[in-house]
Amino acid sequence: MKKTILFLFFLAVCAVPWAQKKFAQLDVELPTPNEYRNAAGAPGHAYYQQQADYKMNLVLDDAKQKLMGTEVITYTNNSPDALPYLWLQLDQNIYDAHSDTKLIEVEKMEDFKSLGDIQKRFFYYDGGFKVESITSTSGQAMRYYINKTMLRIDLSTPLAPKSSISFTVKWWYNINDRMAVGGRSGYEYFEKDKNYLYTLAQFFPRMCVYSDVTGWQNKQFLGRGEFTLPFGNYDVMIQVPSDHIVAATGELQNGAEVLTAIQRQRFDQAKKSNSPILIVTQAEAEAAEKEKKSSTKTWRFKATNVRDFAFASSRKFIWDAQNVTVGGKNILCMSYYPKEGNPLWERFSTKLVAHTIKTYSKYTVDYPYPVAISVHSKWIGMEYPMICFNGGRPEEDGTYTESEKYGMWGVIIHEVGHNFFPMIINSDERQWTWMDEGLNTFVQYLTEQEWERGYPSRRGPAHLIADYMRGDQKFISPIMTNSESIFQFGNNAYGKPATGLNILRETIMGRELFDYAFKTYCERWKFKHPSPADFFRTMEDASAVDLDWFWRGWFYGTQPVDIAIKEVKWFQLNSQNPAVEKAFLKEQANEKDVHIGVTRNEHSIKQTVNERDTLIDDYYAKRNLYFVDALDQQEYEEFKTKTSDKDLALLNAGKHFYEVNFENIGGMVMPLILRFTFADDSTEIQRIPVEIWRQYEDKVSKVFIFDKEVKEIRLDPFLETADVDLNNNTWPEIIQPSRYQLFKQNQPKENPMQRQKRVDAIKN
Amino acid sequence: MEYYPTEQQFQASLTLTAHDIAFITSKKHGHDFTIDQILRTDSLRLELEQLVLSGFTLTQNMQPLFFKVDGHDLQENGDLIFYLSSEETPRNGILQLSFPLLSNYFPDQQNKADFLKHGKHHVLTFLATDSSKEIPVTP
Repeated sequence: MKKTILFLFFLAVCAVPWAQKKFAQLDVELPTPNEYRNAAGAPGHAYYQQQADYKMNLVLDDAKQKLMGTEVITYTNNSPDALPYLWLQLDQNIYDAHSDTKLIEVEKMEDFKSLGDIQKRFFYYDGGFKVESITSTSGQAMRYYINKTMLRIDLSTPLAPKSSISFTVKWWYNINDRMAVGGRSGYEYFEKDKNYLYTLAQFFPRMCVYSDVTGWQNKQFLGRGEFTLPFGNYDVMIQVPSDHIVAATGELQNGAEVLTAIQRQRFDQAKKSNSPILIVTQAEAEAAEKEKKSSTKTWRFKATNVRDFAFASSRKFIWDAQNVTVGGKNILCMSYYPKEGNPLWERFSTKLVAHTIKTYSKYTVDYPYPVAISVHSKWIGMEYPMICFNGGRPEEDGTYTESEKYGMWGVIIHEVGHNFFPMIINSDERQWTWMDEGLNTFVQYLTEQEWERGYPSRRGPAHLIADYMRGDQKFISPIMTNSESIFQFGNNAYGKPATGLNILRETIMGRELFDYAFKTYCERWKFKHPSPADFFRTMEDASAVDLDWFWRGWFYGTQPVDIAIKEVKWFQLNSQNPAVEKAFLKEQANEKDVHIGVTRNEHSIKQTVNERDTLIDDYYAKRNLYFVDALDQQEYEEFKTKTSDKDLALLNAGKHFYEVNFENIGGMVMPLILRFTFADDSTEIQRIPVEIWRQYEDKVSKVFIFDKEVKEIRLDPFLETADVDLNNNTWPEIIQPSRYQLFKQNQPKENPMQRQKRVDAIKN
Repeated sequence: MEYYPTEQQFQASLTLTAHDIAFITSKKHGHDFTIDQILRTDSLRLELEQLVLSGFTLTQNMQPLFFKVDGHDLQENGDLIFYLSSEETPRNGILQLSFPLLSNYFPDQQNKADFLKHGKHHVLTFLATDSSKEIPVTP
C-alpha cells in the first residue's frame, strides 16, 4: 500500500542494544599471538618446525599380500626444547584385532539383519604393524612403547635443540583387502585375471609432528581425523614382482634398470608432450596380467621436502603421462590404471591432473614437486604427496553414466588438489579436518568450473549447503570441531567451509581482495604448519576486511542464514501541487475495490430517489473532491514562494520510497542483496554490507528511494548467502515449489535410453 | 515431505548418494554394479525401492501409511532422488516418522527430514541411535 507523507523527519532514537554478540571481535577464541605465530597470521620470527628424513627398503610380497620394511629415520629437532622421547604414528594399528576403532563403533541389533551383516562382524584379519626392532645407528636396541596407534621411543639422553638423531625401525604387516576391510590403502584382487593392485600408504611408522601449537601431536588415530606429519626427504627402494609397474611419491631414480627401452623412450616423449602419451599400453598390461612373472625388481624413488610417501604397484597398470608447465617449471602429470578403468581413465585422468595442478597453482602456490600422479583405486579417493588414489570405474562394456563421469572427475581434481592442502600447506588433519578438506573443496570448485562451464559441482555454491544448515541444531557441529567429533563429516568439514570461502569471495570480500588474501595465506604457510588462527588472521590482515563476525558465525557457530523480508512500506512525497495530488487521490479512489452489492445495484436499481429528485443533492453530494479550486492554487503558489527551487524539484521528482523491514530468523548475519524489479520490468541490484546488523541483530529496516514504482523485491536473488528459506525472501510473497512439485512438473516419461531407441527407430 | 490436501496424500522426495547405493548393492551381491545398472535392472531397482521404503516409514495416529515410489532422478552430480507418495488419507493426527535409511551401512550418517507446511520448513534429524521422531506439526 502506497502512503504519502508531508515531510520527512528523521528522528535518531538511541536505543542500541549494548550486547552485540555477532560482531564481537574474536578474542578468547584465538590463541595469543607469539614469536612463533604473529598477530598478522604469519609465521613469527622464531617459527620452527621439525624435520624427518627417511631411507627405506621395502619388499612387497605379492604371494602373501604382505609388506616388509626397514627404515632409517633421521629426526632433526629444530625446536627450542630438549626432547626426552619421540613419538611415531602406527596407522596400520587401526586394523589390529583390539583396535579402538572397532570398539567405538555404535551398534544396534538392527545392524545385524542378515547373515552377511553377522559375517562382517566376525570378519577377522591379522592386521596392524608387527614392529620387529628399533635400533640406534650403532645397532643397539632402543626402548620403545606402543600405545595403540602411537609408538614412543625413549631416548637415553634428550634430543637437544638443533640436533639430530638417526635410528632404524624394522616392521612388516599384512596388507588389508580394501574391498573387504575398507581403508584408505590396501589391495584390490581381480578375480578374472587373478592379479592384485596395491595402493599402499600410511604403511610405515611415521614421525609425529612436534610444534609450538600441540607439542607432540599424538592424538590417537581412530580412522577419521587423518594425520599430520613433518616435512622431510625420502629415499625409498621398493622390491616388487619384475612385471609390476610402480607409481610413487617422488622421482624414479633407476628407470634404466626397471623400464624397458621402449618405455624409457615413451617416458622421455611424455616429458615434452602437452597431451598424454602412453608409456605402458593396455595391450602390454594385459600381456603382463597373463604372464605373472615370479622374479623381482627394485624401483628407487627420491622425494624432497614432502610430508609423506605412498606408492602403488601392479602388473595390471596402464601408464600414461604428459607435461604441464607451472611458473616456468615442468611437471610430469601421470596416471596409472588397470584396463577396468578404461575408457574413462585413458581419456580424462592425466588431463585432469594437469588442469588441477595448473589451476590450483594460480589460486594458491606454484606446484613445487616434479610429478603429480593419479592412480585408479576402486571406490575411494585418497591423497598423499605427489600421488593419489581415485575411483571412477565404468561398466564392463565400457559405458558409464554422467554421474560416474562427474564422480571420477571430481575425485581426481579433489585428491590431486590435496597436494596443496595439506601436503604443501601442511595443516593438522588430526585436529582440524576443515583446514585441508574445506580449503581444498573450495579450490576444487574453482577448478571444476574452469574445466567445464556449468560443471555440476557438489559443493561450493552457497545454496547447496542450505539443506544441511537448515537441520536440527543439536546435530550440527561447528566447523571448529575436532575431526573425530564432527556430525555429518562431509557437509561439516568439506561443504560448509568451502561454501563459506565462496561466500567470502563472491559476496563479502569480492574476488580481487579474497584471491589476494587467500594466496597470501598459501604463500605464508607453504611448507609450514598453519593453524586455524593463522588462516583467520591472514585473511583479514591481507584484505582490511573485518571478518570476525564471519568466522564467529560460520566457523564457530551453527546458526543458518534465514533472513526474511517481513514488511514493505511504500511512500511518495506529497508535492503540495494540488493538480498532482488530487489527481493521485482520484486515481487511488478509482482503484479501490468495489463491494459486489454496489456493482449489482447499478443494474438492479433502475433509478434512485436523488436521481429522480434533483432537490435532494446538496453541496456535499455535488462537490468534486478532486477539483483543483482557486484556493488550492493560491495556497500552492504561496508554498512555492517559501520553498527553494532545489526542494521543489525534489518534491516534484515523483520519487518512490520503500521502507523494507528485514528479520534475521536463522541467526547468522549476512549482507542484504536485493533485486528491485520495477513496473516497467527493469531491475536494479542493491548490496547492503553485513554491518547493517551490527547493532540490531534481529531486525533492521532500510529505506530505498527510486524514480520508478517497484513491483517486486527479491532478497538474495543470486543465491549467494546460503539462505535456508527462500519462501520469505520475496515481496510480494512467492512460495517456492517443493522438490516433489518440481518432479511432477518435470516428470520424465522415459529414460534417456528409451528416448534414444525412439531416435534410432526414426533413423531406421 | 509435504501433505497435499487436494491429493489427500503425503509426498516426499528422498535424496541419496548414488555412490553409496552402488557400493552397498555391490557389497550385498558380491558383484560390482554401477548405479546405472542398478536402476536399469528391474530386480535390483525393486530391491532398492524396497530398501528405501523400509527405511522411511510414516505413521499417522499410530497407523502406518503405505508409500509407493513414483519415480527417481539420477542427477549428474551423483545425487539419486526418489519420489514417494502415500496412500490417500485425511490429515488428522499425530505423525511419527521412522527414518533409519542406510544407517546400518553408514552409522555415522544423519538422515534429515524436511516437512513442509505452507512453505514453512520443519526439519528433523535422525541418527542411527535415534531414528524415529514425531513431526511437531498440527494438521
